[in-house]
Formats: sequence, structure tokens, C-alpha cells
Amino acid sequence: MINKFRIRYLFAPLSGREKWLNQMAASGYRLKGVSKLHRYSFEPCSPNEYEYRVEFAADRSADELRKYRAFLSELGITAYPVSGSLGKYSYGNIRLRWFGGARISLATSPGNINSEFLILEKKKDGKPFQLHSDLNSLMEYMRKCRGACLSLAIFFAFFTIMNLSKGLWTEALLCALAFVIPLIFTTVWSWKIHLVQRDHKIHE
Amino acid sequence: MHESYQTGALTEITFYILLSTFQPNHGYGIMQTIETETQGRLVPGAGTLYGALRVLIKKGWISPCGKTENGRGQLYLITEQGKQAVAKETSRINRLLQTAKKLTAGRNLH
Repeated sequence: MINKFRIRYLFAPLSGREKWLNQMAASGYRLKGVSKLHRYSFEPCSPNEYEYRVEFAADRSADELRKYRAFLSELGITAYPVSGSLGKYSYGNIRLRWFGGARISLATSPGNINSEFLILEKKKDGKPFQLHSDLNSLMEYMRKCRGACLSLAIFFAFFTIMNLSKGLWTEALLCALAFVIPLIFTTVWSWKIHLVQRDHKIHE
Repeated sequence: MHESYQTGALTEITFYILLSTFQPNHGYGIMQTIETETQGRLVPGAGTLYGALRVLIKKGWISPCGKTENGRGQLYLITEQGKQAVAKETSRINRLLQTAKKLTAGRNLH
């Protein structure tokens, strides 16, 4: 059993974390658990025996998350919830979540706080391990990811303006920096959505 | 949403899920049926399948009908409304096929 701390994936929660976990699996280590402080425990396995995907799950209510994990388990997929924050230090751990479709929900703990992402593990069986295989589902998922980034950007834009109006220049600068990062991610998601829409104009 | 607003056509995944639930079937079983019937062309993703099942239950086209033998898996069965949707979609596909045959009759497609 080996343990690794990886806080950097707070800032690359999906693709960065997924790539690293798949590299670990390729070198013969399988995930056994993740702590709230981002300590990843691994146990040895055959190289490339397992593969991983990371899914954004902060839009799901606690009950929905429980049902989804049960469903994944039926398909032979193990889901490890991962927090979007580090203990009580939070950047990206929004309580008021409006990006879960039409409804606005308030995240609760225990429930969906500290379960903002799901690491999904499946034994390799030669079949593609994809989460969203049709356009509707993929677009819905990507829009939720973009919505989460946008909500962060709006949140920090608001505080930047508040601090500027009070003449708190240092705080305003910090909030402005915190605003730029999710704004970049929002733009990246918008571009990805545009590409998917363009590629699916003819085929489903 | 898994219906096209313009044509009322169902997505392929939705149609296959409905066809797979004419007898009680669970998530993994539905996935296997789709994969087998399409000879591996269509492998529904876990998120896609879960979302589609949830929408179909909400629309009343399928309904949960108990658990699998080991008590862990949820079984689903098509409803009367779901059967009507299948009949409508089958008829649409038949019309599409007839149109394709009529317009391509005598022409080389290869």
C-alpha cells in the first residue's frame, strides 16, 4: 500500500487527475481510497488492470448521488467521491449550486459537500470506458461544468467590485485573480461545447 | 431531453432502452442488450444510460419493477405509454426506410 498527497488536482480536477490515476494504474497501482485532505491510497495490481475516469458531480443532490453510485456499482464501476476543497479551505466549493439543470440547490454536509467529483474505476475489459456516449448527455454534462466555472467567476467578480467600491485594493486584486481562473475555464468549456456541436451537426 | 423537437424522433439510445425493457431488465442487462444488438457499434456510457433511464421514468415510459436476484440491481419494465412511443418510432423508421428505398431505387449507392 502506498499513499500520495495530491493537492494540485484541486486546480485540474478532471483531466489532470484522470491522467495521473491512469498513469498510476499503468504502473501497477490501483486506487483504494481518497481522504478529504487529498491523500490517495493505492494498492499494487497488475499494470493496466484498471482504468479511471473523473466526473463532475457537484450538480447532483445527496440522494441523487447515492442512487447514481448504486447504479454505477451495478455496472461494475466503483465510485470514489473526492472533495473540491481542502479541509475547510475552499475554492470552488460552492454551497448555492444553480448549475444542476433548472433547479437551484443548497449543498449540504454530509451529502454532497466534499463529493464534488467522482473518481470512477473499472476493470479493463477491452471495451471503451466512456461516461457520456450520446450528444444530449454529453452537452448536458459539459454545460453543467461550464455553469460551475461561470458561477465561480460571477462570485469573485462580485467580491472584486465590492472591494473596489470600499477601496480595498489588495483584496480586490486577489479577488480579481480568483475571478480570472474560472473565467478561463468557462471559455475553455464554451469552446469545447462549440466543437462538439459543430461535429454533431450531421451525425448523432 | 432525448427526443428531437423538430421531428419527434427518439435518440438511438432511448429507442434501444425501450426495446430492452419489454421484459424486466437491469442497468447492466440493458447495456449488454444494446451492445449485442448493435454488434458493439453502440456502447452506452454509464452517465448517458443513467440519465436516459431517469428521463424515461419521469416521462412514465418505463417503470422500476423490483430488484435483481441478488437484491442489488434495479429492474425496469416498459409501460403502455412506452410501448406507444415504440410503435410510433417504429412506424417513423419504416416510413423513412420506404422513402429511402423509393428515392434510391435503381441507383447505385456504392
